[in-house]
This record gives sequence, structure tokens and C-alpha cells, in this order.
Amino acid sequence: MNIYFTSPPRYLFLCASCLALLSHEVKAVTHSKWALSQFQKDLFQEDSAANNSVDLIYFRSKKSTTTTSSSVVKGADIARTPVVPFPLAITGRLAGLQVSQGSGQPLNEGFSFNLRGQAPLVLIDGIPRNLTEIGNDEIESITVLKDAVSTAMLGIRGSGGAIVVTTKKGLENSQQINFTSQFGTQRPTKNLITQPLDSYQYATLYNEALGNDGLSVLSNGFSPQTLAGYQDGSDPFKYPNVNWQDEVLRKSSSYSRYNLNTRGGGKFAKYFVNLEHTNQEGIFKTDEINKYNTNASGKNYFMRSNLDMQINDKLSAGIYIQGRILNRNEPGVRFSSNNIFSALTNTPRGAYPIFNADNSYGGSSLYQNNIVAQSISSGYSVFYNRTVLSDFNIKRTLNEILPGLWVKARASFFSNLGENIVRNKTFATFEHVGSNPTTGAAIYRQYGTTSQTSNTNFVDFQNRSDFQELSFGYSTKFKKNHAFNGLLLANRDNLISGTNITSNLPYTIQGISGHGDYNFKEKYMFEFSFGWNGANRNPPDGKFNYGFFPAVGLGWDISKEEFMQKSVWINQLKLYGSYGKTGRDNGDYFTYIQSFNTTRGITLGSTAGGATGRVETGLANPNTTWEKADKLNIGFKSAFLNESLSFSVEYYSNSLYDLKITRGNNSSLLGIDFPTENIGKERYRGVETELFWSKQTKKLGYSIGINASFQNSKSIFSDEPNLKYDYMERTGKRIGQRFGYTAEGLYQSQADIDNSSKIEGYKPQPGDIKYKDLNDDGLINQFDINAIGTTKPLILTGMQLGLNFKGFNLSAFLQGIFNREIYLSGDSYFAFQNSGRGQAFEHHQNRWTSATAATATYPRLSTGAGPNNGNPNNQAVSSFWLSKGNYVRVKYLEFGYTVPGSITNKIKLKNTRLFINALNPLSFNSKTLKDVDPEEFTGAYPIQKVYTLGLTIQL
Amino acid sequence: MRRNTYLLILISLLLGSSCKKRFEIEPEERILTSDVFDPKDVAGVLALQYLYGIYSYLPTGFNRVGGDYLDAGTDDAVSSVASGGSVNTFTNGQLTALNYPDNSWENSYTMIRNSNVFLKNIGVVPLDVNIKKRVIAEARFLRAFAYFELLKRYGGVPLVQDTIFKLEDNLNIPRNTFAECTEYIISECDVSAIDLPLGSTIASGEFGRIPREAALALKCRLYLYAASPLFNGGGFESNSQIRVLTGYATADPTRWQKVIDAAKTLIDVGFYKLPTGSGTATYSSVFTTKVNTDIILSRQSGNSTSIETTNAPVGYVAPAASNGRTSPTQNFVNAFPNLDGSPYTGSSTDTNQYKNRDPRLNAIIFYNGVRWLNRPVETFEGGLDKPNAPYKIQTQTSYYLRKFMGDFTTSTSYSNQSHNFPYFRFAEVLLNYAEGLNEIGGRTEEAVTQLISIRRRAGITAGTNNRYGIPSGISQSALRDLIRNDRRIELAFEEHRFWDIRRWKLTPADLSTNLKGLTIDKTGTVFTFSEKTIGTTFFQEKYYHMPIPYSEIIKNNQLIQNEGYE
Repeated sequence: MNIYFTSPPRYLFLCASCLALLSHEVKAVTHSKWALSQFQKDLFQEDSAANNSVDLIYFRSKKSTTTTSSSVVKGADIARTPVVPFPLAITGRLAGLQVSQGSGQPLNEGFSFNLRGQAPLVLIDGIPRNLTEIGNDEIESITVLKDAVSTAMLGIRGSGGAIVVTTKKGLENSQQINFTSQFGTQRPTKNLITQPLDSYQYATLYNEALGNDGLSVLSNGFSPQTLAGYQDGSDPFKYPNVNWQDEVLRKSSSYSRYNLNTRGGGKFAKYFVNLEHTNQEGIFKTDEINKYNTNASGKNYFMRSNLDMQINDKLSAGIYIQGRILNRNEPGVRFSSNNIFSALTNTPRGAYPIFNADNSYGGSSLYQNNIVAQSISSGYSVFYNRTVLSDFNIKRTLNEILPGLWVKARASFFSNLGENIVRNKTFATFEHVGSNPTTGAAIYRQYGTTSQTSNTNFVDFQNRSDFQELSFGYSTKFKKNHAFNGLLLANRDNLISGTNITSNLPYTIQGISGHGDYNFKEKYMFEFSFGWNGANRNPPDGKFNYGFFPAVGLGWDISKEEFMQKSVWINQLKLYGSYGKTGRDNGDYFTYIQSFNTTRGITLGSTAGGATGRVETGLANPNTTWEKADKLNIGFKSAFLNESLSFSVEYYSNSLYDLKITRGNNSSLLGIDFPTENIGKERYRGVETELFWSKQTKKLGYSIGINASFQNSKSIFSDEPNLKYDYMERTGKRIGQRFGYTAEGLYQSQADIDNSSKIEGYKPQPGDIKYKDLNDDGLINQFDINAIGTTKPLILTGMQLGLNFKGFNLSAFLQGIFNREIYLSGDSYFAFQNSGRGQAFEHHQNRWTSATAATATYPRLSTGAGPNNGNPNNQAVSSFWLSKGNYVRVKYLEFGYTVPGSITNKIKLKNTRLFINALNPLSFNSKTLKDVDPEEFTGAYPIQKVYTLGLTIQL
Repeated sequence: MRRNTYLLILISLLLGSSCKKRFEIEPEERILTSDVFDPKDVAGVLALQYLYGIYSYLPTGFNRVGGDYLDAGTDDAVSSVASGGSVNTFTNGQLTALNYPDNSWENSYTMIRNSNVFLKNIGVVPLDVNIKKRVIAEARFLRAFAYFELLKRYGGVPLVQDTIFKLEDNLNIPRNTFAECTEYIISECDVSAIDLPLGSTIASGEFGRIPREAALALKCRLYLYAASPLFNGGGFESNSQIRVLTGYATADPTRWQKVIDAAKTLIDVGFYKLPTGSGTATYSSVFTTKVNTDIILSRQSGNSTSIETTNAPVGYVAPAASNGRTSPTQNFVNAFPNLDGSPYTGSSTDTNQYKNRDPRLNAIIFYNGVRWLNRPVETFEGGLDKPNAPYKIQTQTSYYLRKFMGDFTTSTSYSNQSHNFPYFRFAEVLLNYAEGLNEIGGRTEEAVTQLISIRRRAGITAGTNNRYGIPSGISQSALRDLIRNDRRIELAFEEHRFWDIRRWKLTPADLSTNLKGLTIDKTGTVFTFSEKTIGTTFFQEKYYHMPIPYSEIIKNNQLIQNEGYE
């Protein structure tokens, strides 16, 4: 066979060798029309068997009879999304799950989950795994489990809900070889609300700010000569005006992904073998002078082999193995990329020239780290993350004892090593400080030194885990109308983690879980599940403490009632609900033991020697235990017109209690830090809804799916201290409710100030933010802080659109968030942060001055110093800085063309598809975030828009 | 079939057996109470480490309050960080219960708890009986020291005695009165003084541990505070309930006698005394010579150049840039008497004003033209040490703080120096003694004798009448001013003036002053001085005492806030 595309040669050997391995199977391929249609079904439509069931944690359940709350996304929908961690591909696709991203750096995306307000547990093939990077094409489906009856079996790990990733397995009577090649470009989104000012504008505003602060421009400001120099730009060495972003960052970088997999099987064995490679180039400019890569890039290799064997008619076994290599490259030492972005946000354009007249790196006493040098003259470091994951199972039916009974054993081993190789170096910068009075030669002051490249290597972390499980299952149908499925299992998950410094004792979770479901004619359903498990590390002696977490579910499918049988257009009208208890143990490391550390040494003796000092490591809590949650979920699911139209809605109310918090009344009279105690209570409530409509004719098909979830929360108890006014209390408010002063615009004049309440500890100036005196005591102080901003529930939405016409298809996915508020602050938004040395941005042109009083949107400028320093007042948390942060993002677009079989069959290909796609191409945001990335607008590594062109070939 | 059954049994056995193989159930490397207070360790190694842990909470002194000296919160100096330093809240009238930057509440109660943990458990450690007595006395002293840190700030605070609170204990505890706290600290000083070793007997390897004289010095200072106008029945509060928390309810002039007695006891021990010699170098060396008889107790720290790099004029870059953090005021410079001990009455703008002054001036202040690192200090406009560049922290007054630094007049770069912040000095005891003798009445000349010792060491000339500039037949009130002024200079930047101006109960009008600095212009080689006001201190009665942190008030419903901060 031939591969009809060009690919960088270094990947070819990989592909070629893989193909060689599989060549004997290639020969076996039959090019029937059946296979073609099967392929289309697999790739572009949903497999009907999978479509009818839902992957719960330890088993699959029929969608029609489950009473659990779950949402599913198919691997085929997300496989071509140009991201590496799969959570970034499912953002918004699953009702109730929010994935936020904080950075665009490959393999350091800083994302977080929010599933009904909690952080869910990730399971891969039914085993908890702290993994979020796996090959895109490995994924068969991703399911989120949200209620008690679906997660009670996890026992003390169930409270957060679960994300269940199922990998692809072999297919009986089939043989496929799929090859996908995808390459394209990544373009950064805007990561700042407005852009930094040029040197002249910056210096002008700085001098204005000094005046506002009551400081002398003569002593602390930019001289008229300097201002003139910045303005005319005639001496870029003395009066630089450097656009640092342009100097250090690329406008685009490359992305590529290659996947080769084969899937098939016969009667005896079924297999799925997947090889995948992604390569994301970083955003930094590099220099030819370096023989190594200094860019912040990520290269990943994923290998998986899932093999299922039917050894005889009673015995089957499975071997699932994954290997994974993630390589993250960075300039300088680990996480230097963050430092570069921090420097980009904080360095004014006039701070220093990139290069001095003598071609040395520029710098100054306050800005000694030349940003260009940080990116290309700091060496590099590589973070290697290597994983081997192997799952084994063996299953035996026990029909001879009882028809429908089986027993299964699973064992798994997981090993993960994170290693840092640091080959960094330091550099010197030079500041032109004057000239030799006699020779006139320039005098430079040096900061830092230029060093040789270092060579260090350390283990960042090591994780190992082993997992064992024995389960018994039973399914039966009796008297035709009654169906029962039962499962009882015992498992043990043993995790050992450590760093190069310490190695903790294992964290082991073990126990028994069970599940049973019964239905009568698929009309009435009853379901129960429980987890009885525990973890070590808890009082009184570190041995296991077990907790019992039961849950029940009930369901009624009205459409199955006799009186509905005439309405054939109704496929499902299911009312269902569940209630139960779940737990969360956060693995605190033996915090019940009062222990001592040596963090506080002193100096003693006439020769000033060190003496070890020993203190308690916080106060032990002898009663610490896991957190609990009582979860109620009520839902309604309906499907009509042969399931082409479906609608569902769910309501949930989760009461969390025994939450580990530090008590609010943590009086220092105790004399030691309070430990966390199981006293917190919170409640999360919400509604989730999904609507789906699809229509397929012979040539044309389209579909539309919408999901929306409304999330609300309430703090019930946090042991708040005695607060003078009710409005100061957080109890009863949303979790994470922002508290601050209520801004009432800016003081316009001294008279305005005189007529307003006094601000305690502050002398306001015109142009300062005026705050509301909530208790009307004529004084603005801590008693005027209350909840600010919206109290409305957060709304998360997602919409997917699909359209196909003949061989063409178009799909789009949009993600939206409403009632979101952002708080504008920090180095990327405020002027002259970091003791006045920070940046100023375009929006500061709109600051308050006596001339712009009427239209100002930013308070008077301040350098953060001086007798009239405005920052203590103006940067206090207040509603002034709150802004709407709603957005609708076109998360994913794909346009594809499947070459007609009549053509591809001639070249012995089953199927060929060309596609172009785009990640994050567009976003419609609230006004403040216009043109800016709605998730990362604080100057960190920008989130990327990715456009790729791809080809999928099936043999 | 049979084979499969065996296999299942085998798997079950494997699973079953793996559960039993736990080697270590709790982390054995953890240090537990029974390890720290080990009933078998004759040397008590870890117990001693725990004692040193309590030492570590003693205040650091140098540049302690948000990077500044506490004294930069008085009329002696300002922070060079243009009003950005938190220490400015003491002078700008903005001090509240939320922004008090020198709150030692948590730190002190941590010391108190740790001392109590030590005292409760040390009994089981089989230490030599004398060593055990000594370490117990040290813990009790440290606890008393912590209470004094609280007392001078807030007045009376909750006395928790020997209680080690547990999670379930009620922490709503009321404040004890000023009298009760004073009595408690005094009695703890008395008890610990019995078993603390004399300063003369402390081994050189243990230098920095508490000598008996420290307990006597703490007692002396507490008596001095208690006898002073603010605490001695001078409470300004309208609420009598608060007044007994922050001072004695009624005045009693005989309280000065206790100051005299306490000082006399310490002086009579005889080990601590003013080191011989006089003048600038003698005075300076007290702070850079680790072991000398003026220092009774000080915060020990490793030798370094930290004081130099933090506070020396900003133009010096060898080996690292100096940061000139502290700008002493012209007000303070004017307080230095002439070389003959008479008050300076010249002009602030006199370019020759630094000549023929109290030699301590050269040990405490950098002024324009004084040599340092082999060049003159340039605090004139545009000079190396006042470059007038954006962002640059630089002197606000034309002065920088020199005290506590090694002598680098002719060096080319800094070398590591001994920098130990003094908690108790013999000179302070002498000044306490002088103040007590003067205030008690009828013993003015005895007070003069003490002041002369201080002035002689300072390098003030004796004068023909051998009175070091102190007029014959000086009145009690004139001597009071002299003692106060000498205290200001001798103990400058050692965290005394901040509390002294309060305990003397200087009036809010006295304490609201303009802070002065100089603008120095250089034309050719000629300097012109002009005086400028760099700020004004705002003082209200409530600032006599510090606010209890708001975060503590709301967590303890029995805790009464000091008046004016509610």
C-alpha cells in the first residue's frame, strides 16, 4: 500500500514500522461494501450497540432502563479535535460539566473540572486514573456520572462524580486499518484586555500618576529630556520602545498529529491497536544560534493495545496495555515560560533596549532579566513524563451453577515517572550608565553573569499504582417480564506517589461494592448500589476505616404503559430519580498524628552557628474523616419519532457535609494553626437539560443538539466569626461569592469627597473610587463589605450542529457561559503594579483626570507610593472591577469530504476522507472581553486557535 | 473447567494474601511528642531543639515592619519607599484594626503555647537537674517576653497561664487587666531569674541564650513602662472598663522605686557594663561585636551583609546594590547635641552642622559628604545616592541610616558582619535607672551620674566641670528632657522611641509634627541646603495603644477592643 500524503520524514519510520508489523493482517482485509458502510457507521454515526447503553463505572447499563444521571460523548466526535488532554475536547459537550482552561502551553494547559460544582474522578476502563492525556483515537466514549446511584460504588471517592473514559476494543468479524494525518497551524488568541502603551505614553502617564500621588516628578519621574527621547525615538539604545510581545512571540506555530490504528477480530480474539503522535510547537521565537530547541513545545507518543480473547465458550480474558511518553520542552528551567509571560506583562516598553549599542543584552538594575535573553539564551529544559499502564482481566461464566452468573478478576499496574532534564544557563545584561570623561567610551554596568550550560536531572514525581478486583455478576430474565442484573465486587487500589525528596506510604482504598437493577417490562425500574470501602491514613491508627455509601434509584417509562402503545411516535417517556450518600476522602497524609518539624532554626554561639529549632506541624485533628454528600437527582427523558427527537431535563440537589475546612472562628489564642475539621456544609442545586433533533434522508442529513445547565450553590455552614451585620455573612450565599465594597463611581471633586462618608485609614482624592456606606455610619470600613456581583446561577451551554450532504459533512460545536463575571485586576489590568514598575495599558488612557472626569472609566492613576497613593483605596476588592464575562465560543468546526467509494475502491482503499477543522476559531464575548480570549485574559501563555488539514484513510 | 476453577481460587488467594503485606502502617519517620520529649534521652537533644523553636519566634528587629524599622514609624525616620511602606500607617493617621502592620498577636500566643507545651512535657526528659532547671527557666522567660510584647502594644491581654488549648476548648476568653498582666510577667521574671545562668557563665557556644540578667532587664523595663504617665493611672479612655485593661486605674508615683530597685539589682551583678572606650567607633562596635558587655540579650543571626545592602545609600553597588531603605529625619539629626553636650541650636541648613556634634551622629547617620566604601556619600540632587530616577527608592531626607553597620569607610566592598538585634542593653538599664531616679524626686544628681556614663561612652567631652554638658543644679524637668533626648539617641532604631513617646504620654499636639528633610543642591563644588517638609505625623489619643487585630476580635466574643478602634 501507499500513503498518499507527505509527512515529515522523521515520522515515516514510525508509520512504516508499524505497518510492517501489521502487514500480515493487511493482507487479510476484504474490501466489501459491508465493511465500507460499517466504517461510516463507526466514524460518522453512532454505533447502535454503544448507543443503547451507558458505561457506568464497573458495568454497562441499558440506556432505557437506567435511573442514573449521565451524559455521553463519543470518541468519534472529538478524535480530530487538535488538543492533547481530552478534557479540552469535551468542554461544553456534556451537560453539567465545565472544563476551564488557564493557559495554552502544550502539556501545561492548567485546566480544571467543575461537575455540578465538584471535581470529578477520572476513570479509564473502570479504574481510577490520574491521567488526562491519552491518544484521541483511543477513546471510544467519555461518560460523566453525576448522581449517587451511579457513583455510590466508588464509596469514599464518589462525591465529585466521575468521568468515565472507555477505550476502543476490538470488533468481531471485522478488520479495519485507519490512518489519520493532520497538520496545521496554531495562532494565539489575545491574552490581554488591552495592549501595553508605548514608551512615551507610558512615561507621560507615569509622571501624571506621580503628581496624583503627591510625589515629585523631578525626583521620581521621567525628565522632559527622556520624554522627548521616547517621543522621537531617535536613540533606541537610550530611549527604547520595544514591543516585547513581537520580539519574543510567534504569530503562529505548527501542530501535527498522526494516528495509525487497527481494529478487528475473529471468534477467538478481538483487537484494537493504536499508535498516535502529536507535536505541538510552542509560541516562542527561537534563534538559529542554538543547536537545540528552546521553544515551549510538546511532543507526545501514545501506544495502546487492547486485546480480548474468547478462550473457550466459558472463559474470556483481556489484556489492555498503554504506553505513553509526553515530552515538554521549555526555555530555561522548568516553568520558565510562565516567567517570560509574567515579564511580558510587567515590563514597560521603555525599560531597556533588547541589545545595547555594543550588541550586548540590555538590562537595568530593576529589570535585570532581558526577556529576549530569557527566551533564547537561557538554555532549555525537558520534562519527560513516561507512563505504562496495563490492565488484565479474566472472566468465567458460571452458567453451570446458575445461568447468568459469572465471575471476573481484574488486575492492573500503572507506573508513571516524571523526570526533568535541565540544561539551562544564565546570561548577563548590561546597562549603559555613562561615558568615560576622557575617552568618551561607554561605561556599562553588568547584572548577572553568563554561565556554562548546566546539566542536571531530577525526578519530579513517581507514581505507581496497583489495582485488584474480583467481581461476581448475575443477569437474568424471568417470567418474561422481569429482568435483574446484579454485581458484587471487591477491589483494592494501592497508590504510591513520591518526589525526588520523599516517598509517601501508599494510599490504599479498598472495599466492597455492589449494584443491582431490576425492571418490569422495562417499564418500572428499581436500582440500588452501594460502596463499603475505606482508606488508610485515617485516625485512630492509620488502618482502614470503612464507610457505607448506599443509593437507590427508581424509574418509570410511561411510554411502555399499555395506554401509550398506540402512540408509536413516542419512544420514551421516562421519569427517574435517585437518592444516596457518597463520600470523598482527600488522602490527607496522616494529619491526625501530632508531629514536629525543623522548619524554624536559630543562630547561636559566638561563632554564629546554626541550631536546629523544632516546632509542631500544625495541630493534629484526631477526628478527621472523609467528607460526605447526600445527592438527590430527579429526571425526565423522552424520545420521539424513532428517536430522532429527544429531550431530557434533570434537577439535582446535593447536600455536602462534613467538609474539611478550617473553622472560621480560628482564634490565634490557640497558639498554633488550626487543622481542617469536618464541619463545613454546602449545597449545590441545579437543572440540566438536553435537546436533540436529527433528520437523515438519503442524501441530506442534519442534526442539532443543545444542552444547558444551571448551577447554583449555597454555603450552609462554615463556622463564621461574629460579624456585626448580616450582610457580611457568607453563610447562605453562593460558594465562592465575591465580597467587596459597592462602588458608586468616582469622586468628581473635593466637594464630592467632603459630602461623602469618610474612608477609614485613607484620604480620598478626586478620581478615587467612592464606596457605598452600607451601615450609614459615615465611615467606609470593613463593615461596608458585602456580597458583590451577580447572585444568579451560572449557566453553561453547549450546542452541536451537524450537516451532511452526499460525501460532504459539516459539524460545529459551540460552547457558552452566561451569568459569568470576571474580576479585572492584577498586573495585566492595573497600571504601574509591582512598586510602580509594571505596565500601563491602552485602557489607562481613559483614566480619571479633571479634564476627563465625565467619561473616565478608570480611577486616577497611581504609582502605588506617595502620600496620596491611591491603590489602597482603588484596588480594594469592589464592584468597580466586576465585569460581565459571558461568552459563546465556537469551540470546534469541521468540514469534511468523503471520497466516493467508487474511486477509493479502485486504489484498494475502503475509505478516504479529507477534512479541515478549527479549534476556537471565534468567540462572541461580553463587551469587556471583546476580541480577547474569554478564558485567559491575564497575560499568561495564550490559548491557541488551531486550524488543521487532515486526511483519514481506511484500508 | 477444573483448571479454570483452580485459576479462580489462585486469584482469590493472591488477592487475599496481598492485603496482609503491610510493612508500615503509620509513617515511622514522623517525629512525635514522645520523640521530642524522650524519656530515654539524657541529653534531651530534640527537647532542646523544641526550646530553640520557641526562640525562633522572638522578633527579628531589623527592617521588621514591612521592610522598615519600627522607628521609621516615629519622628526619627521615614521609610525611603515613598510612603508605600506599611510602617507609615503609624504616622499618617490611617492606623486601623485591619492594617496594624506590627501585630504580634499570633506570634506571641504561638510563643506562649509552645512554652507551655515545653513546660508540660519537659518533666519526662531525664536531663541533668541543673540543665532542666535552666531550660524551664528559659521557657518561662520566653513566655513572659511574649506577654510583654503583647502588653506594650495592647495593654492587658488574655492570660492563658499554663493552658495548652485543644480543639474543643472554649477560646472566648476575656482580657486580663494591665495590673494582672504586669504582675504575672514580673512574677515569671522573678521565678525564671532564679534558675537562669548569669551572663558571665554562659558558654561561648551558647551565646544568645537567655542570661539571668535578661530576666532582670525585662522586669526593669516593665516597671519603667508601668511607672510611666500613660500606664500609671494616665489612661485617656472614657470607658473605665477599658482603662483598667490598658493601664493602672490610679496613679502611684512610688512605682518609680521599683524601676530603681530593678535596675540597681542588675547593675550590682556587675558583669554587664559599658565597654571601655568612647566615641563613634566604641559606640558602633557594640552592634557589630557579637559578644560585649553592653549586650544582655539580642537576636542572634548569621554573619552577613544584609543590614548594609538593605539600608546603605542606594548608589553603592559592591557587591550587590544597596537599597537605602531608611531615611532618618532632620528632626532626629537636630536632636544630637554638640560635642560638648550642649543642645544644638544652629540651623538645619548649615552646611557645617555635622561638625563638632555628638560622635554618635557618625555612627547612626549617613549624611552628604561622609565617606563610605571609599567615596563620599552623594545625597545632593542628582548625586549617586539620590539619582532622581523613575522607580528608584532613594532617601527622602538626604540622610540614610548607618547604625548597626560595620565600618566600611575605606573598604571597596562589604564583608560579612555580626548583626544581632539587641533586646536588652546595659545602656538601656542605665537610662531606665536615670529616669527612675529623676522621676522619684530628690535623687536628681544620682540620675545625672548615670547619664554621664552614657555621655562619656558616647564621646561627649567632659567639660571643665566634668559634667559632660549637663548644667550644674539642673532641675528635675530639665533633666527629664535631657534623659529623654539621650535615650532617643543612644537607643535609636532599637524599637524604644516608638513606645517611649507613648508611655511618656506626650500630647497629641507634641506628637503631631512636621517631618523635615533637606534638599541639597550642588553648584560646582558648593552645596546649598534647604529644608523641606516631607510629611506630617498625625497623632490621636487612640494611638497611645495599638488596635487588637479585627480578625481576633470577631473570633472571640469576650475580647474588648481598645478605645477608638471599634
